[in-house]
Amino acid sequence: MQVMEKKKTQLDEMDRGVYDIKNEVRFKKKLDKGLTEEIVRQISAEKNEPAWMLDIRLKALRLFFETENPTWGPDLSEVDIDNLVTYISPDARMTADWGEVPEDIKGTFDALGIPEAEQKQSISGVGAQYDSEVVYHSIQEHLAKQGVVYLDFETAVREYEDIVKEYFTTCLAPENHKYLALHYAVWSGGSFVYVPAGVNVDIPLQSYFRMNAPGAGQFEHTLIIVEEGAYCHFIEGCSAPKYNVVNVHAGAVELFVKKNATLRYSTIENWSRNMYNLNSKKAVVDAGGHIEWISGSFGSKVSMLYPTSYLRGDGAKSEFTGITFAGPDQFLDTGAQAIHAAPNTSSSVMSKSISKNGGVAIYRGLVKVYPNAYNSRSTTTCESLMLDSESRSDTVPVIDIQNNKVDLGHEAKIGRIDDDIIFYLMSRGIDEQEARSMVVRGFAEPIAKELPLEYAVEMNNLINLELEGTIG
Amino acid sequence: MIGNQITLPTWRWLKVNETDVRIPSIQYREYTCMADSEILPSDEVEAEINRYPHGFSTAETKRQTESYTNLNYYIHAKRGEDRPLQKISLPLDAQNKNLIDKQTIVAEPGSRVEVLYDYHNLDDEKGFRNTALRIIARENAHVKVYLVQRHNEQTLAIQSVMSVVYEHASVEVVEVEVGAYQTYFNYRSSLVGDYAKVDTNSVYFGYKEEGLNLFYNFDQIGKKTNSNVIVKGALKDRAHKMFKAALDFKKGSNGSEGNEEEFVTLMSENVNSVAVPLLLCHEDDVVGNHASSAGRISGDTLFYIMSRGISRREAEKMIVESNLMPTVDLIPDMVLRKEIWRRIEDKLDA
Repeated sequence: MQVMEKKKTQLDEMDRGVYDIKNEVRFKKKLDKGLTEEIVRQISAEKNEPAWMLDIRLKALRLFFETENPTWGPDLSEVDIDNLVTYISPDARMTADWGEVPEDIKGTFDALGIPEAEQKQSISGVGAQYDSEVVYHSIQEHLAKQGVVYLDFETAVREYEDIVKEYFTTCLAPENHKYLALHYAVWSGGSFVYVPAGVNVDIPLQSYFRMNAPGAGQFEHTLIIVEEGAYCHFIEGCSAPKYNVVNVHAGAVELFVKKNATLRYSTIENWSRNMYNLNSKKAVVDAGGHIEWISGSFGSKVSMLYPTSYLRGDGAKSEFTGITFAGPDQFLDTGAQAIHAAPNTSSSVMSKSISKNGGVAIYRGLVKVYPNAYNSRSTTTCESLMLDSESRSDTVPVIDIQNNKVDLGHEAKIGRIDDDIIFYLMSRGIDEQEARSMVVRGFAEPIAKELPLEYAVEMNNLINLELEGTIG
Repeated sequence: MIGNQITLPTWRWLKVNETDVRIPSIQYREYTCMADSEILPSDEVEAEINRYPHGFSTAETKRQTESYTNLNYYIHAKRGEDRPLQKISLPLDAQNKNLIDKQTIVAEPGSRVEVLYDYHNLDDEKGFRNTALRIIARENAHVKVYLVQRHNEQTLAIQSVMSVVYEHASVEVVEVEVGAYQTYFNYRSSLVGDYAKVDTNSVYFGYKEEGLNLFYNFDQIGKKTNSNVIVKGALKDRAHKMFKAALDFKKGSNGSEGNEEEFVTLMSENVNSVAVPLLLCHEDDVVGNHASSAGRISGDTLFYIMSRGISRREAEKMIVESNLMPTVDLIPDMVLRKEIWRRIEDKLDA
């Protein structure tokens, strides 16, 4: 057999197509760069919020300045809060009529396919956030009639103050880390979902977060409460055009899955390569509840994202399925945490990563089983695919078990595309580039099949975009 | 002192990034059970060793070896020499409460060395041992080391192992940890030559409040290197274990392979088992695998054996034995194997 020459990958700055649409930055309100108490008070005043919310913001602001950067993971020294605009409100008012959204903003979302999905009724509610504010929000009538609430977060703070106050910060505390403190100090936008007991939101709700302004931060807050026996699928999409200055995304996602309820939370993230994506996501799951995470991380310069499932009720369950694709100059530090804090809980993690052209993909995981979490089960599978020797792929899992009635398995694999497989495919008349692409798509398939069709297509397009001209 | 630091730190609140190794303050005392070897490692050998990472922390290793070492023993295999198995018995007792030993093995090209170190106590006296074992395996050399730790329950054991493995050379370590109230183990290997190979088979049994802190770090530097670490153990009562391992595929280690496997049987409800298995990869043309599992003894297996008229305790023993015995069986000394198994049985019966 002729030994195949191992070809290395090449990549020039590629055209990211619709993701790189840059609109002229027109804004209604843009606060000064940096972070001061004055700025935090201005954001709060702008939103006309209750006093307790301002108190949380100010406390978080103090915490932000008191807390150090993490001593592990990617270098965050480039994140300079003094050069960052934490609040920028687009020149548009919140509307439920797509026709009222300003043309340029509408054009961007149209190109990203957001309203199209709504028209085709493949999603049942849409939220679209542009920089710091939500510009469009809608929900299908039959869901609203059943008591399903899907609102932008500011409106929820005003209209459902009691519920928001009861849950806000109880899942993710500002004390957890520096960028969560930053989030609570300057949060703006995001979504609020409330699904009453027994209601089945069979068609997904979707929020799309778009950053247009350079040198800005996006700090949306998402709070989802799925009451007893209810079902909800929530999809989150994120993107931004590329600028030469650092942008920061430090959102927070707080999820409450009540008794026997199920929540599916899907994310396709394609931030541009100047973005520091320092996002926090956590679900608190009660007895018999079920959280499913689907996560695709493609964009950003640096990502630190580890969705956490806190299984606090008997029989609670979590599933995490994620893929990370790290290209040139990207440092994607992602993973999942499962905390078993009650008996009969189960968790499963399937993580895949691809790195190429100097990209760094890290899987960082945690499975923790508390002494009372009898009969817990957990499985973790991590697979990393390296496309060249310039890249880096690391796996850093921690498994901490504090009782003996557990069944735990963990597997990790790192490797390259098997030459035998390429040889086999080529012997069937497929050219090498296509053969390699097929292997990569096959590798990503378990994630793609968990997504709604439009998103699976978007993910495949992203993979093709990433691979274009790189393999062969 | 801080030791067993993982190469790539993670969340601080998990407290796994490093280990606080608490060593007793000691004074130099002569060790009378064994004398230093007549020839000690040359300055060149010491310099060579110091070029590679080893020990719990550099400063601490240095301090320990400079000030308190009471045994310095060197095994040197000449070019092409095939040395028979050498058994070294290193007891602690009332007269020899502390053993701070420096063990060095240099295997010149083409040689074979096989050494068994048996660390134990002759009485119930409280003991402290801090061992540094340094191994250099030059081209085509093969080194096999058995490290048996069967101290009494009043003893604290610290063991650092380092190996530098050159082209086509291999280093095999069999580690047995069945004693000591607290064990710290640190093994760092640098696979610098092409086709270098490192195998590690470890087995432990922790009971009562015993603690085990085990660390394995293999830097795969040469091309087509191969590393394997298989750790099997059982924890009972309130015993706790932290297993940390890293296979570090450096850039240029084309064609290398590495496997890390960890299996632990959890026998009591208050045990604590932590595992941090790292795979670090800077090279695409490598294969790295990790597998670990933790859990109780399978109910079905237990039921099956008990249905054959065997008591629960016997059945549990049989299952643990079947997990641990293949590694214990690698020890090339029948009396010692029996002694190790007696210790495990005593712990099972306790």
